[in-house]
Order: sequence, then C-alpha cells, then structure tokens
Amino acid sequence: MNSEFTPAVEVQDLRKSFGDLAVLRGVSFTVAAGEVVCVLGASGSGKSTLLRCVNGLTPATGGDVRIGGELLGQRETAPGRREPLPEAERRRQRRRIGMVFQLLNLWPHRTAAGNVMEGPMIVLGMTRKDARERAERLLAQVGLLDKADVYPARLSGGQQQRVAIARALAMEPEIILFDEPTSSLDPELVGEVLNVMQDLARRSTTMIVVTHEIGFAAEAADRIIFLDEGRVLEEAPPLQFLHNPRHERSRRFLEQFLSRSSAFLSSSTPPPAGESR
Amino acid sequence: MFDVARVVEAWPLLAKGAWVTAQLTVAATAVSLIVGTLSAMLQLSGLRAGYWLSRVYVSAMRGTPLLVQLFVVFFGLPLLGIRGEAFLAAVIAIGLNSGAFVTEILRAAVLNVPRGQIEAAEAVGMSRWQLWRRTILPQAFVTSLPALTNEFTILLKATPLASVVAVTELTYAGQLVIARTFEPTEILLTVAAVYVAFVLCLSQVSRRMESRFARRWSIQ
Repeated sequence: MNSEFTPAVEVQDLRKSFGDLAVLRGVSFTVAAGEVVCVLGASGSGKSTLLRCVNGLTPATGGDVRIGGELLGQRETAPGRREPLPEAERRRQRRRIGMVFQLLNLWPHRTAAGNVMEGPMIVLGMTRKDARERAERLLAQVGLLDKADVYPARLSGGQQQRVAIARALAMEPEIILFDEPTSSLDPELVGEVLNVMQDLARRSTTMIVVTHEIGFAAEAADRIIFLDEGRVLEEAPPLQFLHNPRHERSRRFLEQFLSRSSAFLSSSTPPPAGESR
Repeated sequence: MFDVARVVEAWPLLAKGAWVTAQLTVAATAVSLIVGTLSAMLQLSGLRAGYWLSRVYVSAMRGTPLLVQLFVVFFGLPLLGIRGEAFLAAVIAIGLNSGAFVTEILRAAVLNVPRGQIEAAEAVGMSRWQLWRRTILPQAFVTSLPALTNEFTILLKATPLASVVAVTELTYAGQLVIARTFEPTEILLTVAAVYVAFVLCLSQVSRRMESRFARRWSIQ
C-alpha cells in the first residue's frame, strides 16, 4: 500500500452505544499523514468516546477504523466476512497509536524516564540502555531532561502531561491521540503542554486532538471537526470554522465559548497604565 | 523470683525451637504470598472459572479452623506418598490459610489502582501479564504493606499450632522444658519475649520498605 495515498486514519460510519444510549451515530472522517485534526464539541457530544474507539480501548458497536489502511480489531477472512482479531494482534495495532489522556495517568512507581522507557523495554523489547537513550532524547524534546529521575508525585500537572506525551512518543506511533490533555490542569500550566503539542504539530506528527482550547485549534490544526450528538456536524479549516461556521449549532457553541471568555475579560480590571512594566 | 539460671539452662533447646519457628514463618509467608497473589489474580482475571476457584478457596480457608486444616494436610500428605513430613505439612497448612487473607488484602489494593493507569498500559500495548507484573502488582504490594505485615504477624503467632503434629517449634520447645522442670514462669516469659522480638523485626522490615517505596511514590 502506498502511504502517500493511504490516509493515516480512516474512520467510516463509526457507531458506539452504551445500552440504549447512542454516543456515536455514524462518524466518518479521514486524517492524512502529518495532519493535525482538532475535534471540538460540547460535552457529551462523543469526543472522548470517538478517540477511545479509534485506539481500540473501547470496542465500537459498528463501523470501521483503519490505521494506515489496516482494519482495526478485525480481519477480513473473505470479502464481506470478518472475524475479530486475536488479542496479540490487537496489541500490536495499539502500539501504532499513541494516546495522551485527560487525567494524569503516569505510573507513580516509575520515574519520568522510567515511564517513558517502560513501553520500549517491555513491549518493544529494547535494552535498558537504548530505552534510556530514547527517553532522554524525548524528555529533552518536551523540556524535562532535568526531571528524568524524578517521580511523578514531585512533578507539576503540566510536567506530568509532558512526560505523558514523551511516553506516547517513545513507542514511535504513526499517530497520537490527545483526549483533552489540558482540561485537568491548572490554567497557568496549560501553556507549556500546548507549546509541546504545537512543536509536535510543526514536526508533522499526525495528531487527533480533542480539546476545548480553541486558540490551540486555531493555530495548530489543519482541520477542525465539530462533533454534535454523535455526528460530524461540520468539518472545515480552523479559520473558516471559527469565523464563518455553517451550522447554527456550531455558531452557538462558538458564541457560548467566546461570551464566556469575554465576560471574564470585561470583569477583570486592567492594571493602571503607570504601573505596568 | 525470675531465675536467670533456668533460662540459661533451657536456652539451647529454646534457641532450636526459635530457629524452627523462624523457618516455619518465612516458608509459610512465602507460600502465603505466592498463593495469595495467584488467587487474587485469578479472582480479578475476568475468567469465570478462575473467579470461582479463588472464591471457594478463600471461603474454605476462612470458614474452617486452622487446626483442622493442619490435620487435613498432615494426614493427607501420606495419601500423596509423602510421609513423616510434619514441618512441610505445617508450612503448607499455615501458608494456605494465610493465603486466603492475602487474597482479600491484595484484591482490595488491586481494585484501588486507578483505571487510567491500566488504560495507559494497554495503550502502549502491554499484554495482560505485563500489565499485572509491571503496573498493578508493584503498586498493590506497596499500598497493602501495612495490612500484609499485620497478616504475617498473625501467621507468626499461629505457628505454635504446628506443635500438634510434633514440630518442635518455640512454644513446644518451651513446653518440653517445663514438662521436665515444672517451673513455667521463666520459660514462658522467655518464649513470649522471643515472639515479641520476631514481631518487632517484621514490623521494622515493613517500615523500611514503606518509607523506601510508598513515600517516594506518594501512593497509599
């Protein structure tokens, strides 16, 4: 298969229900290699479920996900006939997809470097020395080389999330999924994580980012997908989506977001001109 | 009054008994940890048969007196062709009994490992076994250190039961001395002091491990 023409991710009519509750009602989109796609949407629109289905943590109820052209979680035995993949094959597929979670999910019993080395050593069978080298290179990339031997308990939320990004990168995945990576952080720590992600975007890392950081989406995304009630309502380049959304729902979502930030801005008093440095 | 001479005279026999008690405790603790860990893993593995096997084991061990279990093992071993192994029978019985409690202690600790950490391990492609070995068990052992220490001090003090199958551990050794001299006070106090010393050793080791791991990781 020619990777130039095969999308990195291809999602086709993806459906997921929890009992009677249909969370995803037929989601389709593709992500080209090197592309950054931000998924926006109100809470409950199915954003997180979408990511979890794309990396196979949650099995979908229907529809297909293809990573680099390869069907996820199933194999075709004959045209139109499929069977679920054995667990070992599914694990092998999962290695190709990196994931950074919303909550701080570092393993507390391993240092920053230990967290990054774990996958390469245990899953890829790399030697400790090689894994350590890779961990140091990646920690340097996220600006945390000096914290290599520190346990997560001693790291700030933003630092922990940057280690989590290095941990995902260590598996050299074809794509990285971010599930609201900044929403459990204190506001002053959000910037450092977004900077690392922006740096990844510049290095042409294929990324799907579920986020509420519209500023990040505007700057780093190649495309925005707006999810509403389990469907893709709108798919557009960021500027077009932010300035000229086509749908009433997306317009309201953006208005709500902007009014929230402007209400905050107008209520805070600007510092007197004389005192500013 | 406390006559030290009586203790000195009895000491060689008491020391032998203390050594047996120590060996019995260490061996039974090892059995208990191994069986308890496997049983907790089986119970939480998601396998129906594994779950029930572990439940039945825990109920049987918690529901019957250790003394009865000891007799069952002691008289059961010869049926397997193993004869005259009172020490082995005691290790197996006490270890299996304690393993049931270790199962329950570890089960609680395993369920306390945050879901997100398990998903993070799955996301890098770890297998079930790697997930247990690398992520779940190290944390579960450390968070349950205080409860495990408690369980093993109880195990230590259950070892005198081995005397009923004629294992000459510390308490039995003391009784042998008393049967000869009819002077129980000094001997019993000495025996008690040795148990206290053993328990202190155990809790020291546990404290060291706790400050080495739990505090550094900041998990509880």
